[in-house]
Amino acid sequence: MKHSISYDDWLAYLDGALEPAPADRIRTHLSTCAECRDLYKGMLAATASLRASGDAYRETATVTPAAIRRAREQVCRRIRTSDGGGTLEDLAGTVLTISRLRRLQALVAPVCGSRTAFRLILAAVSKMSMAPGRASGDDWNCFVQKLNDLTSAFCGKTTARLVWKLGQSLEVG
Amino acid sequence: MLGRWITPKVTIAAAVSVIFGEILWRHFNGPGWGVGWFDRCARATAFYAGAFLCLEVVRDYDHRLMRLSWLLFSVEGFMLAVHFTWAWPTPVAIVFIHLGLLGLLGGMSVTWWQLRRFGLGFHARWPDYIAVGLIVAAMLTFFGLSYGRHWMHPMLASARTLLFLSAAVAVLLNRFCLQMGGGQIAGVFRFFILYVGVRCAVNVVFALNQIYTPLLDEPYRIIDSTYPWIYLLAVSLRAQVVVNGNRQLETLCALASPGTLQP
Repeated sequence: MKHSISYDDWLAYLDGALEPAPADRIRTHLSTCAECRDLYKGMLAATASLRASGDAYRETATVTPAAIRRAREQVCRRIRTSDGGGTLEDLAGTVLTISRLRRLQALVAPVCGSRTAFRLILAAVSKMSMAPGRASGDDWNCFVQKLNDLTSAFCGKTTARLVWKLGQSLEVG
Repeated sequence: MLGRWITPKVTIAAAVSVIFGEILWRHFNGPGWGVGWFDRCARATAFYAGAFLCLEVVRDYDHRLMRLSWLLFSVEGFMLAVHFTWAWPTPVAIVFIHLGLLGLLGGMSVTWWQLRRFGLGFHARWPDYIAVGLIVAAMLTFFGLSYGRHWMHPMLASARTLLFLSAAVAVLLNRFCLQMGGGQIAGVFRFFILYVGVRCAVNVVFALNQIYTPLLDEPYRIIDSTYPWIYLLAVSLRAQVVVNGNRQLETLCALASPGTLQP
């Protein structure tokens, strides 16, 4: 903190997000303090330079569905290896609605446990190839198929058949 | 389907009846051969039923290693059933005990390995490794005591090694059960862990009996006649998952349109 202006206040002032009263105080201070005026000019230049670099990078870099899938798999792997972090809400989307996921979890959880049920759903989501915002009814079928395979390996064929059957009825519903 | 008849409730009722029956028999000074014969029949029945239920569970899996693990659990049941039916007290009895314990150790190890490989976040923690170390230390102490007092046959030593190794794997499996967050499958594994624990306890009480005879005689008999039923309880719980699943499936099929059962 220099001249009673904190670092956070400076950043908020640069973004134009500071409350009117403290913003007026900084403005008044800048008109009288040469040192802070230099600091402010330096910060303005750095911010402008960063913004320009970001814009330039955004124009050259394209985010492919494969890159999105890779990123999602990484996040899912991180959640899986942690001790129960993440919720179904994090996974829900336009097709994988929270109510559908909850019903599938409620079906599998009594057999293999609530945490395992969540992780099975997470693993099934991470194996899908759809991009966010481009999900369709086929993606739901693909998800149910993946979950069916994983459940079959962990809980047995009977529970897997239940998952498949419920998944089908949820799609129809 | 055997699982429809041998439910966990039936198993508990049978176990309680047999154990209390034996206690009453001894209390009223019934002939020794009678209780011995009854005990062996009851144990053999429990292990045969458990082994056949294991085969039903094998059929519920497509996954190769999970099938193998349940096949090995059924080997444990069949071997001990044969042991109690006709092998004991002939010299070949020890061979069946060894084969059974190999099945148990193999089944638990394959299950543990496969759960790790699923990639669902199951992992052991440092207290588990300490517990495994303590079990190995207890095993060595036990063997040292037995060797010094000359009351353990060398063949029994190898069988007990297999049992203590199963206990070490059981500790790791117990961590996975905690990480599952409940569920029937975790319950099944917990009963297998209890089964291994009780069998270890039988051996430890047997060893203590050599020193404090007859102080621990009755507890030894009770613990000794309990473990076949714990095995059957574990397997019947797993078979119950299949039975309940089939019932739910029938209900769902009745509610939904036909033709969507198979993926």
